[in-house]
Amino acid sequence: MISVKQVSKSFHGNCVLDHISFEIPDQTATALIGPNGIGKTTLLNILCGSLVPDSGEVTSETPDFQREIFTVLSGSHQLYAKNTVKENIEFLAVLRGLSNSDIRQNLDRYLPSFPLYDSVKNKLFEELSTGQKQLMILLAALVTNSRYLILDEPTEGLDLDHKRALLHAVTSIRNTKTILITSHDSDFITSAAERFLFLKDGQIAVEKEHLDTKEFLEIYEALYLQGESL
Amino acid sequence: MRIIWYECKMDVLRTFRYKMGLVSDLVIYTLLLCFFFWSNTGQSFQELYGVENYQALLLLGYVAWTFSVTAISTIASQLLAELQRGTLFFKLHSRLPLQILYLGDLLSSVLVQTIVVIIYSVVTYFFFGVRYIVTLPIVAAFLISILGMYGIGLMIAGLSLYYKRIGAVVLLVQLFLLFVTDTIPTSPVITEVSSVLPLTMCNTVIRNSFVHKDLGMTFLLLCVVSLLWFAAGYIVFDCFMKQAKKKGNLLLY
Repeated sequence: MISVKQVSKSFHGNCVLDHISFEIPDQTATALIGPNGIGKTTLLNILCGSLVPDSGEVTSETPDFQREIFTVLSGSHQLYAKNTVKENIEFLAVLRGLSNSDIRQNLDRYLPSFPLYDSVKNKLFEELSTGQKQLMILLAALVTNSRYLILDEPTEGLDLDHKRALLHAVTSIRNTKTILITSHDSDFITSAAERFLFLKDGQIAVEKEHLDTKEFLEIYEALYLQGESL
Repeated sequence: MRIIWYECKMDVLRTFRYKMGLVSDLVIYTLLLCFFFWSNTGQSFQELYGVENYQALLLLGYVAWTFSVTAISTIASQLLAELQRGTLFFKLHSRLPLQILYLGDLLSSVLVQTIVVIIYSVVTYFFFGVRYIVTLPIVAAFLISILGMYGIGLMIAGLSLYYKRIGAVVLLVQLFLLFVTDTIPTSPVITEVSSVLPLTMCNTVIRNSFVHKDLGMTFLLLCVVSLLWFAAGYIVFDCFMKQAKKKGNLLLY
C-alpha cells in the first residue's frame, strides 16, 4: 500500500496540494479525478519521486517502492524512437535488474494479452501508431515486473479499437498490480478503476468505489461544474 | 555492468540510425583539423618537444580534445534531451545512479568518436602526410582523461537540470577547451592555470610519450586529477539533482 500523508506543494506562492492524505491499496485500480490544473500531475510526480513535496511524505511498506513504479504517460513519446520495440522493452527491464530469462518469462506470460507485439517487435518505436505505442509501453511496464503502474491520460489520442485493447489489458492486470489512473475519459475510467479520488482545492474532496459512468458524471458535474461540496 | 552495456548498446544503435549526427561530427572535426594543418598551427611544438613532426603532436592533442568534448557533451546534452523526451524518468528508477548509468552512453560515444578519429587521421595522412603511432601509455592517458572530463560533464549536466536552459554552454566549453588546454599551442601562463584540467595534463602525457620523454609523475598526476574531477562531478550532479526535484524541474510533461 502507498500512503500519502499530509503532502503539500506550492509553486510560486500558488498552493496546489494542501495537506493531502490518502492511501492506494495494493492490487487495486484507483482513479485520480479532476479538471486540468487541479494538481493531478503534481501529485503523480510526488508519488514517483521526481518532485519533492514542501511538506508531508509518501511511504510504503517497501522502502524503495518508487523504483517499482512505472509510468505510462499520454503522448506516447516515452520510449526511444530509433530503437525497436523489442530493444526498448528489454532495455527497460534490464534497467530494473531483470535477467534475460526473467524478461523472456514475463513476455511469455503477458504476450497473450498483447497479440500486437509479434507484428511490431522489430519495428522502430517511431514507426508505430499512437495506440500501438501506448499498448507497447504498457507491455513494457508489465515485463519490467513493476508493482505500481501510473497511467496518466493513457487513452488520449487513441482510437476506439486501441482504447478497447488498452482497457482489456488494464482490467486483466488490476488484481495483480497496483494501478493509479488519471483520465478525462469517463467511459474508460469507470470501466478500468475500482476506486475514485476526486481532487479539489488541493485535497481529496470525494472518495468513492465502483462508480458507473452516470454516477461518475453526476459527481464530476456537482463538484467541478456546479462547485458544490459533497 | 550489464546495465551499462545495454545502455551503451542502445546508444550505439541510435547513433547509427540517426546517421546525420555521425556525418556532421565527421565533417566538422575533419574540416577544423585540416584548417589547423593548412595554417601551420602547432609549429611551436617543434621547438618545445625537439621534433620535426610537430603535426603529429598537434593531431594527438586534437584527438584528446575530440574525446574530451565528447565526454562532456555526452551527459550534458543527452540528459536534457531525455528529460524533454520523457525517457529520463525510466532511468531515474534504474538500479544504477544516473552518473554511473551514463557511462554506457560515454562508452558508446567514445566508440563512435574513435571511428571519427580514425577517418580524420586517414584524411590528414593523405592530404598532409601526418603520421603518428598510438602506444599503450597514450591510450591509457586518453581513457583516464575521458573519465575526468566526464566528471566536468556531470557538473554541466547538473547545471542543465537545475537551470534547464543552458543554451550554448556546452559549445562554449568545447571551444574554451580547444584554446586553453594546449591542444593547439597556448601561452605557458594559460596552460599553467589550465593544468588542473585532465585534458591539459593528457596533452602533456601523450606528447611526452610520443617523443619518448620520461613521463615522470605526470601520468600519475593525470590519474589522480581525473579521479578527483569524476568524484567532484558525481557529487555536484547529485546536489543539483536534489535541487531540481525540489524545484520541480523533473516534472513529467
